[in-house]
Amino acid sequence: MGRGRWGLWWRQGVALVLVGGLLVVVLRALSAARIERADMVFNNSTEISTLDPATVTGVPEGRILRAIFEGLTIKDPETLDPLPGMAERWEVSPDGLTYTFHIRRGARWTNGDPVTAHDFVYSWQRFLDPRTAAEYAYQLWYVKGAEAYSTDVGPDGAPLRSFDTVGIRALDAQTLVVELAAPTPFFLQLTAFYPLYPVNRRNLEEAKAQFPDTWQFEWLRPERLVTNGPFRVTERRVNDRIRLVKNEDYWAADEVALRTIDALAIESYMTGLNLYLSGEVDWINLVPASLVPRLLPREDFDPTPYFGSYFFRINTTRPHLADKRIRRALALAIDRRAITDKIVKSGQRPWYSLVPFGMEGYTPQEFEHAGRDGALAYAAALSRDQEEAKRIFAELGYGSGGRDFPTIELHYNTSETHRDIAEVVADTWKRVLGVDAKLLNQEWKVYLDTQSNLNFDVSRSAWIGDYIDPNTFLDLFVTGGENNKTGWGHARYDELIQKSKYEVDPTVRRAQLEEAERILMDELPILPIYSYVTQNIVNPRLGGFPGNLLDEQFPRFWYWMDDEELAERRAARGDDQEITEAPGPNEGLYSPAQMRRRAAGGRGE
Amino acid sequence: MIQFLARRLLWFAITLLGVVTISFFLMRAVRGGPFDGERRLHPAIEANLAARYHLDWPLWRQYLQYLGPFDWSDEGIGALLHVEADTDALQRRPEERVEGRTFRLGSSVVTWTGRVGPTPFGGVLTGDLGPSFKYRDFTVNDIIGQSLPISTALGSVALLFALTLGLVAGIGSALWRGTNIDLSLRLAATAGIALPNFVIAGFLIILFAFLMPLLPVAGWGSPRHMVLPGFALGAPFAAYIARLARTGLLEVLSKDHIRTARAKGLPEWLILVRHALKGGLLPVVSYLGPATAGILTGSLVIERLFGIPGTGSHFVNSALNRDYTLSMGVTILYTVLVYSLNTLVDLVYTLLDPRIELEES
Repeated sequence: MGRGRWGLWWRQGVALVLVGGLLVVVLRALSAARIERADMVFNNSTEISTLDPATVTGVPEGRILRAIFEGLTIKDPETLDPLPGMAERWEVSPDGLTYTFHIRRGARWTNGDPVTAHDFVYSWQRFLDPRTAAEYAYQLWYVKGAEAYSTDVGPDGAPLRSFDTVGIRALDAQTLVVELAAPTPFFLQLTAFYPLYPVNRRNLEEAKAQFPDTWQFEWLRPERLVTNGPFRVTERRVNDRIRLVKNEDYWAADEVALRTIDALAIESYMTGLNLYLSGEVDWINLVPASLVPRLLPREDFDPTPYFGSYFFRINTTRPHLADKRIRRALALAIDRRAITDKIVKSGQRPWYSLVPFGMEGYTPQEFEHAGRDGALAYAAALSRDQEEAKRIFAELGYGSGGRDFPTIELHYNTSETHRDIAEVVADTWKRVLGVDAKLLNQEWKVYLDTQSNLNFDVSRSAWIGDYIDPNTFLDLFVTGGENNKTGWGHARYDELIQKSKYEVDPTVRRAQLEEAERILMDELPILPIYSYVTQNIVNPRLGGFPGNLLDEQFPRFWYWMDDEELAERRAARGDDQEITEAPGPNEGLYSPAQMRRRAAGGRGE
Repeated sequence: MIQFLARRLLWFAITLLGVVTISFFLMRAVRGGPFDGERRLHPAIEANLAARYHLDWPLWRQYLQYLGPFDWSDEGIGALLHVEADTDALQRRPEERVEGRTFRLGSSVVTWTGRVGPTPFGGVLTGDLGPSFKYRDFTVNDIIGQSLPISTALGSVALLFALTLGLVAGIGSALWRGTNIDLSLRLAATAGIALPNFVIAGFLIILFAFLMPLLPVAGWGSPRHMVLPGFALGAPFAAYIARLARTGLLEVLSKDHIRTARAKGLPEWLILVRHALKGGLLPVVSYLGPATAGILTGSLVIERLFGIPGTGSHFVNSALNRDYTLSMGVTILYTVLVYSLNTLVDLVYTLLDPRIELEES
């Protein structure tokens, strides 16, 4: 190519294209879509994996699904007791096996269709179908025939059994009959749990007809998704926000106060806190651990008990950890308060059992330790426990004068907090028992792989309950369970867990579960560390947002308090917490009860 | 020139295929899968999931399916071949073995059935990057389509900051060489290079969002949201540009043709604009290619800090989530970006310096 006229021409051409391109980009940048702030904005902390209730398992997904769908039952936001949702009422047979739900007349989908019992049959069949690949399918395996339906799979991936073998039937549009395989005392909690929410058949089938190849994405697009909850999705931007708008056709729309809600997907805790502090977000659910002491005095940060347990799993198939006396010594030596007071710091409780603090109708069975009866102060109890640990080690021929105990590898997923906790544990073991512990951190997915394959000595673990029942924890450690991950098994334990599933009498069932936990805490395939607390920071003016054990929030009940109510609340609390800014409210967002009161007051004047 | 571009295009195709192949197998070699979570799945459910996403296929078959353009499932071109995942299959069903048509491939046994012709299917070769494993309501194309304009906008603002600040400072420095102005500008440039962008971002947030609440702390959606992240992202690049512009200009200003121009009595600004800048800024231009790529890839920290829904965060998160398709998608995207930006810079070079030709060697 020469330097002739043509060369000159293309040079100018390129320059023009470049300038033009930059202009387009900048113009585009300046015209980026602006969205008005919603009535209430919260940070959901991550992008959710899907809006399809059947294939979801995560907490952030739950926060969105509870706003847009509704199950047969809903939960009382404070006590979590079942309240009528899509089912207006229900009956339970005396043997606890048959539930008859009466679907509310007047409940509608956002496309105008009435919600019927057939919707639930369709949705639950889809949920259990192996081709849906629902991760939570086992939450419905309490229903007769459901497990076999999901797990007997033909070569083409379709279920081998007919759905008639499953105990889910619609007697008519209004009546749904569910037969359980075993009485499940928490079944009405499950019907309020998001995997059991219904989906709209027409929504799916129309998408399938219109987009034969891409219907899996298309039916969930905001403009097509059909829902039945208090809010609906109107906009979704990946990694940015989900806009929820009040569903005026919701059966209890009169009681829903907020008109719009934004759920942000900000992953950085610090950025989330910055947004909260500048008033752009009203609720965040996680805070940077290093800032907890500075946040604790504030009225808007009030950690409450959370149904979760932090513990270490022990690989009982390792020869040096196979003896339960060794595991007991390891459990006794740990200074739990050093962890709760100096590392996590939000008021977590040092814990000595698997089932966490806070559940009514069950007493967590702590392993034997000096502080158990509460007679001794923590420090005294700890030093006695550590003496006992030393004694056990000496008795087994380890420690000074005896053999050296093999090095223990302490395994955790990469995170500052987990590292600090592992350091405290390693340090106390070294000081008290003379045991060398080596820290090993791995990236999350590799860590999970190591744990599943029992390639560790002692591994950090945690578990959050799905529903309020000890079963959600104790079921983990049955022999060979996929979440056991310790190699531990105990015939009597398995028997008790199995029996408790068929036990109708709550007192007997409680005794069975408590005995099972006593066995677990005697054998100690895990080292309990602490019981969780929630980490919410929430605008003090937001009403209908009580803390609860599952940290589940229900947008249906949210409203903004007026100054009067806020002042009353603050007075009623009567502590010396630091008063923080409480921006809002926007007119018209008061609770319906408040609106009625105001209206009544207005007439009186 | 045409030949130059054709050659570039050919190499581009080869590079891209290499990147796709290597990252596909690297990604799969890493331990852990997209569906591993704290709550381990029931084996039956795990198998259902693997079947739905074809993770139960042998790796070579998954690779071919990913590449496209043919459908390798049993309904598509896969019907031509009967694939058994393990060699035991031969022992179990010897009658299915067809003489001369059965062979081993890796750990699987493949039989040529001769049924059904190839059916077209998506795949990378057709520009279809597949469904995301983690964000299951979106295809990778959807996700990139939504996030790339945002990253591009942020990148353009950052580049704009980098160029204006960098050039003004660099030219100023060169013109007033040795004065206090030069010294302070150079000091600022050194600071800009030494400070990582997240530190600059931290200072900016404290200053302009909390102490003087002029700008939003984070988020995306209006020009105001672009100022702080754009500045923080552009600052280190502005500093480099300032240095390069200063050195380049100083060199040119000492050249003979500048002396000639001065001797002719041309005013200083005209000398600068007409004779010095073109040559003096060449180093800046050659730096722009890598800088643009750097701004686009380097934006992940800034995007995270300011909660901006751009492509940067997917770069890291998709790898951590083992979101195979999304991770491959962003890798491909960056390969394309870096490659085309470099080609563009080569083209621009010939615009500024008449001595440079696009050689066909």
